Formats: sequence, structure tokens, C-alpha cells
Amino acid sequence: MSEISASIAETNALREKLGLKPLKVGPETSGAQVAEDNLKRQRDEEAKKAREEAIKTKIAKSRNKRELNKVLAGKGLGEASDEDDDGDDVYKWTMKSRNKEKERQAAAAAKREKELQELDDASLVEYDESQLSGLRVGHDMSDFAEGEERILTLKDSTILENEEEGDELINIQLAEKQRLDKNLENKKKKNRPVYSGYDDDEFDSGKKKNLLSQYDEELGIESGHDGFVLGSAKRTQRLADGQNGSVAQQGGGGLSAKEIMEQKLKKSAIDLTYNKTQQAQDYYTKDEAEITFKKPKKKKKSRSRKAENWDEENQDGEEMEVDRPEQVDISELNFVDDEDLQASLATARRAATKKSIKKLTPEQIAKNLAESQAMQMEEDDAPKGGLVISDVSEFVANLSSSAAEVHTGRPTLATRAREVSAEAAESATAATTAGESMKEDTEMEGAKEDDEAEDYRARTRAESEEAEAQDVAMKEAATEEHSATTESVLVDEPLVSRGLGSTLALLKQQGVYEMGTPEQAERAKIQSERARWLAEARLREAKLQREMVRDKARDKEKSRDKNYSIRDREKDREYENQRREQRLLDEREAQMKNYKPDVKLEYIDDAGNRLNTKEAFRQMSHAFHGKTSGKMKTEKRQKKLDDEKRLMSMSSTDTPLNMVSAFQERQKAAGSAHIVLAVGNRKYVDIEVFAYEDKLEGTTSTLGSGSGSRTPSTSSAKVAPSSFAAPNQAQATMSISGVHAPNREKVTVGLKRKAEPAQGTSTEESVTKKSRN
Amino acid sequence: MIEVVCNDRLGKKVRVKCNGDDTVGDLKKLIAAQTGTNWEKIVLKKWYNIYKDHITLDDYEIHDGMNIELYYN
Repeated sequence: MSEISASIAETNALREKLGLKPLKVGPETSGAQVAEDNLKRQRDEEAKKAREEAIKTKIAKSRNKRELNKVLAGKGLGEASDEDDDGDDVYKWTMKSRNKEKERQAAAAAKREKELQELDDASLVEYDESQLSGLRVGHDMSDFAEGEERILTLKDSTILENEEEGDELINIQLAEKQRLDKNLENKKKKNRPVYSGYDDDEFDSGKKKNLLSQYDEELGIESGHDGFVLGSAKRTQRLADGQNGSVAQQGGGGLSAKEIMEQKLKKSAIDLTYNKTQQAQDYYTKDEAEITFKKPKKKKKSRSRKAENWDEENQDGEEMEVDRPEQVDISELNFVDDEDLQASLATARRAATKKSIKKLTPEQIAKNLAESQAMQMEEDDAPKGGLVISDVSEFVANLSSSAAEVHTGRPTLATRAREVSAEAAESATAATTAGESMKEDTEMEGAKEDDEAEDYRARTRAESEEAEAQDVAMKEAATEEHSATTESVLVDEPLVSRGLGSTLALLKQQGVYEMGTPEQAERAKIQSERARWLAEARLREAKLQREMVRDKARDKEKSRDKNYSIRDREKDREYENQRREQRLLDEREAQMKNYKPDVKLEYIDDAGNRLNTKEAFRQMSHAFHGKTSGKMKTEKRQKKLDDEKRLMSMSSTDTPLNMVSAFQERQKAAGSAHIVLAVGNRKYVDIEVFAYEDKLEGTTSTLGSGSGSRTPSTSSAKVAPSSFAAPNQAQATMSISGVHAPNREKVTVGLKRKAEPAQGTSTEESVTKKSRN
Repeated sequence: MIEVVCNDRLGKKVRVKCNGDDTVGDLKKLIAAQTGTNWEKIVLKKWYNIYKDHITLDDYEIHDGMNIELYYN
């Protein structure tokens, strides 16, 4: 492989053809050469510059030096001293320095002398009260006692305060005392209960209380408002009439008690002059509006208080030894639901008894005692164990029976049962209370007594007697019942006059009044138990109330004690309250032990039917979901209900189709005492039918039943439903067609109302009759 | 004046005399004149650099005696 190359000439020729400049032939004038040249030139220039610079600085230096030398021209320190160094130079120097020292001392002495002079001048000025005038004292004049010496100092204050108020003199001890007082006051305020019920503070301090004022603490001593100014003209003048000394002498002189008194009076002085031309205003002024009137405290009703007292006395057993009728606790007897009525009755009763008690005078007491003794004697005289019949006993017997009669008038079963139970309970309690007085009372009746207590006693007696009568009656009834079951079928009628029990028995026998189901009896029992429980609860509550009242009274007694501090009282009260609450809770719990509520849920639908559980649930569910059963279901249920109702209302003496009554009617119509239901194989109806037909046709047909001349023929009775077949035709057509006997006769009997022959109908509907005879 | 050697490794090797301030296009024309190919078909490369026509040899720093790869379009 050979390299293609062209010479320079060839290349230049080529280049010429191509329009390019010819090749640069010759020495290499490359960039490096140029650069070198440049570098050289640059260096030369730099060197030249540096040389010039050096020369310039040299010149400047020399010039500077020359100038410096110019400054330093003249004599130097050493040169100067060197010049004075000869002969008396030392003496001169010492003299010079001595002079200097003397001058200095003289100046100091003059200064000191001036100061001393000033001091002397100051000491020469007399220090007296006039220099204190205008200074403020931070205490009231009354704080300084007469003949007392107090040292006053300038009060500590900040610069700002000082600028504002000026200097103030205070006594440290007095200020301390004031602070102490204030602290004590604050403390007292804190300890005091927030609400005392009185507005004493307003009267004490003369201003209305702020909101939550018990937390307002007055900090520090408020000086300034009660201070005075030493040497002030006004003040001195004012004091001058009371005291001849000037205020500046306060170190020596104080104010007497009289002066203080006067000052105070002046402070509270009232201006008696008034504006005579003052117009009457339509509205309250601000001052007038602020005047509030204290509401007079309501007087507690003395009556109720007295009553309470009376109760308390009663309950505490501190009664007078009087023949007071036995106290029957009303709450014990209170079994009736109507509490308002009971309450009013109770108050009435209490009033009555109270009245009677009030009227008891000593003479009466003595009389009562004598009477009771006499009674005792009579009682002793009376034969024991025998039956005593007197007017009174008869009367009482009548009373009880009449009461029983009244009771029989009471209607419904449920209320009846409840009442009986309630009365039983009542009688049980009443019997215990009035039991002792009972016997004695019945006999006492004979004797005439116009004692006021008799009224009350009679009432209790009536009650108890009624109860007893009932008891007796009940027992009788029970025995009678027993005998009725054991004796024969025919029972004697119990006599109504014998009492309530017998009446009850009679009624029961007759079916007028039925005893309740066991369930009802159970309910009645539960209710009576509940009534008893309620009564007990009431009793307990009353007791608690009494105790609370007593406790409160005791607390009051205690609080009157002076040694008993507020804090202690608070603590005690809290403790008491806790204890009371605990006790209350315990009581409640104990009460609830026997608590047996009588709950019976009954659901009734719109139509008034009682629902059982399932039905009730369905009803509630429907109400909840807002939808009810469909039409079919509702109808079905309705039908079921209707059926039930029909079943219930169906008479038990007749069949559903009233056959019995129909028969009876038949009997009446036939005038016979019997009815023939069937003859042989035939229904009895046939005969009737024949008779009917005979009447219609006017012909007599004899039907020999089982006659010898005829062969026994089978006959079929058919009741054609005419209404189905042909409405035109005879209704209730009865045809009896006999299947003909082969040789002798064919009897077809039919009943026809309309005598028109049926056309195009079956043979059974056409009525034909053939008779051989 | 510089001399540049262009080799296509297929049998053609051209030594071209030129100026440094000639463009690549000029160089191509010189090569074309010496080899007898169309200058527009010539591609000059050094490794993967394709020299462009309008740029001078100095700018590409092509010095005397350098080898340039010669390709054809």
C-alpha cells in the first residue's frame, strides 16, 4: 500500500483550482514563538516599571526623612538638661519643686477651710418644728396617745411613689400594729361562714358587700387616707379649738378621749339645713333607689310549733299523769289510700283530743279518778264468767249487725275481698290497742259518763267493736261452711239476722255471691300484706322524723354553747349528717327486705278483649313496626274470636240449631205431651206430610203400614231441593215415590203446593197419583 | 503548512499538505482531488468524532503529521 502524496507545488495548484489561498511555506511562525516574544516583552516592561517604582519610593523616603528631621530640629530633652547642668541647677530644681508643693498644700487647706466653713454655717441654723412643716404623717391623730413619745421615720417608698406623694413619716411600731390588725381582720373574714343570714357587715362597715367579698384581702397598710400634714394651717386651726398645742408637738401631746369622741361625732354629723325650694320628683333619685327595706322576718306559726311540741311530748312519754285516752297512733291505723282525707281527719281528731286535754282541770282529773275507781269496784262486784245482758249489750249487738248489713250492700268481688282483708288487718291492730279498754268499756257503758274524753273513746270503741263483730261473724261463717259440707244435701238456710257471716254463707249458697278463686284470694292476701308493709314504713318514717327533730334541737342546744367553735360545729354537723344518712339507708334496706310489689300485667286490645302473652306480644310488635297482619290473617283471627264468642253465648239447654225449642213448639202445636220421631223405618215426618197433603188434596189416602194386602214396598223419601232445580216449581216439594209393586198397585205420593204439572222434568218431580180404590 | 495522513484501511492512504486555518471541507476537497472520489462522499473521523465541514483544522487541534480515519458515505 502506497501513500498518495502531492508535492507543495501540486498542492498549491490544486488549491488554486479549489479557490483556496496557497500553503504557508517557510519558517515556522507558530503561536509558541509569538508567545515567547510576548512574554519577553512583557517581562521587560515589568522590570522597567519596577525600577521606576523603586526610584520613586527612594525619593519619597528621602523626602520623608527630611521632613522628620525638620520637626526634630531644636533642643532635645537630654540636650536641654545638658545645658542646665552646670552650678546651682540642683538648688534651682529643688526650689522649684518646693514651690510647687507649697502651692498644692495651700489649695487643699483653702478647700478644707471652705468645707468647714460650710459645715459651721449649716450647724449654725437652728433645727425646729418649722423645718418639719409640710411633711406628711401616715397615721391618724388618734393613733398617738397623750404623753407618748414616738419616733417617726421616713417611709420606704419607690422613687415614683415618692414623686407622687412626697415624703411621708411613719412609726414602724404603729405601722406594724396596723398591719397585724389587718391580717387578723382578713383571717377573721376567712373563718367566718360565707353566708350568715344577717347583713351585719353592712352595718358594721357601712357599705354594701361586694361579690365574693370574703376573698377580698386588703394588702398592706393603706396609708394616706388617714394621715395628716405636720404644720398645715388648716389642720392646726381645726385642732386648735380642741388642743392648744401645735401639731408639731405631737411628740409631747396626744388627743384626749373627749377629743376623739368629738371628732367621731363630727364625722357622723348630719346637716340639718335643707333645700326648701326643692321640687318633688316623680322618680326615685339614685340615693333613694338604693335604700332597701329589710323584710320583716316571718313569724313562725306558733300553732304548728305548739303541735309539734305536743307531739314530741307525747312521743317522749313525758305526758301528764292524766286519764288521757290511750293514744292511738293514727299512722298505725291508716290503711286507706286516700291520704289527704286521712290527713285532714287526723288533724280534726288531734284537735278534738287536744281540746279535751286542755279542758282537763285538776278537779276533773280528780273526778275522773274517782269514777274510774268506782268503776273498778263495780267490775269487782259483777259476777265473773256469766253472761250479762243489758240495754247496752243489746244496743251494741244491734250496732254490729246493722254494720254488717251495710257491708253486705257492697258490690264487687275484688273490692269486697280487699276490704275484708284491710278490715281484718285494721281489726288486728285495733284490737291490740283497744283490747284492754274493751271489756271495761262495754260494762262502763251502763254508767253515766259526761267526760269529754268519752267522745274519743266511743269512737275507738265503735271501731274495735265492729272489728270484733266481724271476727265473730267470720268465725261463724267458717263453722257454718264446714257444717254445710258435711251435712246432707238439703241444708238449712242460714239466717241473715245472725250476722254477716251467715249472710255471706246464704248468698254463697244461692250463688249470688261467689268466693273468689284461689288466685284472687292470693292477691287479696298480698295486697293486705302490702298495706301492712306500707303502714310499717310510715311508722318507721315518722319515728325517723321524730329523731331528726330531736337531733336538731340538741344541735341547737350545743351550738348555743360558747366554747363550741364554728369549725367544731361544722365538723359535728357533717358527722351527724353522715350518720343520719347511713341510718336512713339501713332503714330503707331493712324495709325493702319485705317488699313484695303486687304486679299484674294485663293487656287489652281495641275491642276490649283480654290478650294472652303471645297476643300481647304481637300487638306490641305491630305497634313497634308500624304494620299489622294481612287481611286473611286478621279475618281468620276475627272468625276465631267470633266463634268463641258464639260458643260462649250458646245456650246450654239447646242444640245449636235450637231443636229443643222447635220440639217444644211442635208439642204446643200438637197439643200432645210427646212427639213421635219415627214409626218403623219411616220418619215420623212422613205422617205429618201426609196429613198436610190430605188437607191440600181433599182426598184421603190411607197408608197401611205393613198392611197385608200390600206387599211391603220399599219407599224412599226425598227432599228435592226445588230452589236448585226449578225456581218456578213448587217450593219444598216432597215427593215420596213408591216403587211399584208388580201386580197390584203403585202408589206414588207427593206433596204439591201448586197444582200445575211439571213439564219436561224428571219423574220424581212430576206428581202423579194413582189410586185403585 | 501541516501534513495530515488520512487512511481508510481499505487500501487508500493520503498525505495531504494543508494550512491550519483550512476548514475540514477544504481538506476533504484536497483529499478528493488526490484520490479521485467525490468530496461530498468523504467522512473524516477520529475515533467516534465526525469532523464537520465548516470548522477549521486548528479548531479541531489537528496538527502536523496526525492520522485521520477516512470513511465514505
